[in-house]
Amino acid sequence: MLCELCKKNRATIHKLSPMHGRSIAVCSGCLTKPQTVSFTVTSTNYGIGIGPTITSIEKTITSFSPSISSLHQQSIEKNIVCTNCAYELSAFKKTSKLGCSVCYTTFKTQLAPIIKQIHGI
Amino acid sequence: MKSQIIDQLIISSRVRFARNLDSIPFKTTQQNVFEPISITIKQKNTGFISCRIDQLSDKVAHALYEQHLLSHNILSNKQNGMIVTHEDKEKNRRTCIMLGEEDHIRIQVIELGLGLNPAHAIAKKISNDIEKSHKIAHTDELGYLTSCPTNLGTAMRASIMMFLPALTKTKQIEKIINNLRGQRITIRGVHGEGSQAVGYMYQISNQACLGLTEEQIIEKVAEITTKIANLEIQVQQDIFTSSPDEITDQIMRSFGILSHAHMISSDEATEHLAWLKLGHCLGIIKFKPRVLDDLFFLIQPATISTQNERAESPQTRDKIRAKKISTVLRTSRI
Repeated sequence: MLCELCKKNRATIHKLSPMHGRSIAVCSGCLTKPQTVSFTVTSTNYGIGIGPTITSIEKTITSFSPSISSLHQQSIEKNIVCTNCAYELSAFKKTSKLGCSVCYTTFKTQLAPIIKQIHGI
Repeated sequence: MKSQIIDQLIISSRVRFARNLDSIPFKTTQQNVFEPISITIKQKNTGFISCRIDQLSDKVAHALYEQHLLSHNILSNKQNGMIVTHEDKEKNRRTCIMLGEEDHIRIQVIELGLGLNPAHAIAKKISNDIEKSHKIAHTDELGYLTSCPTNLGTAMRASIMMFLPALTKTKQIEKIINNLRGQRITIRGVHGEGSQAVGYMYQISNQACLGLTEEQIIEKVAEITTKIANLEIQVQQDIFTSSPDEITDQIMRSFGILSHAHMISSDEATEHLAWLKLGHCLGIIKFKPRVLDDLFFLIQPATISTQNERAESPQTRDKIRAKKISTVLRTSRI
């Protein structure tokens, strides 16, 4: 299925869209670009004169977007499980602890920015 | 003279290594998984004894916790937790290896006074002994792999316990705590987080373990410790110069209460002991070396209970505590 927003890439995730009033299928690129969508729609269809409404729509979309994308992100990452000890990445997010030494290989990509932040290197 | 005062401010030095067995879950409940490590340590180091956590009485366990030898984590692991310990009375050194803590192996060596280097040497030897016989989790990129990513790298924590009454009373300690954040060094109250420290005791330690060698970490902690100690001495002198009578009066009142009280709680005793130690640092009242430092730990509730079978109730402990303090002060005043 093609992404309902850009109509170019393959859709991988469903997201709630206040603009469409329903859940839409989007690609990972459009998942984090809600403002662009609202600008396109509002500038084309409404024009000058209803600025505040346009702004409020934009705000609504922006406020929804991070939590939705983070929820989707979490649901994707939840499935990452350590091959050695069956520890889930979601458990690390709650406890800041890992399950075993192999977890460092399993969750390498997700841990890299955290390790950089902690140790400053 | 100044180095003598710095010695009085530094209570103890501690070096702690975290190590984990490769591929075994950090929170393993497997029985006897730590026995082979305990055997290795005892075979290669004379005088070490081991004990399972479920064999420790609650009283002894709590007393060891009060003395900062055991953590809450290890005490709650009654499934397979173990400790291997050694006490070198001649060198004032305690070694305590916790097996089954947050990490499989926590080697900690505690020296009285400023002694990070000798503590490090002992901890390193024990670590090497273990690594020769057991496969320890380690990568070239991340160093020793630990349960919490904050301990990656050397997995070493070097810390100094310090007595800082003047910096606490003038609230300068809060500025120091904030300033040290950028230097990857932490300072916290010994009996809790934040700047509120019981008995004005603080723990200064390295925050990050990755990107620095063990020697660099030790050097940095020792360097910061010396700077803080010099600042504390300066502020002590300033406070005393500005109100000598008030300071002397408070110190002698504390001495009076500790020498003559019939009953005293651990909190009240700690507060007065801190004044007495300040008096000792300022040269107003003198005691034999380390006597006051020992008292801070010997008067804690569980430690008193382990030494006296009768000390079950708080009231009885308060009486025993008061008697112990007055006896020690009487016999150790110079």
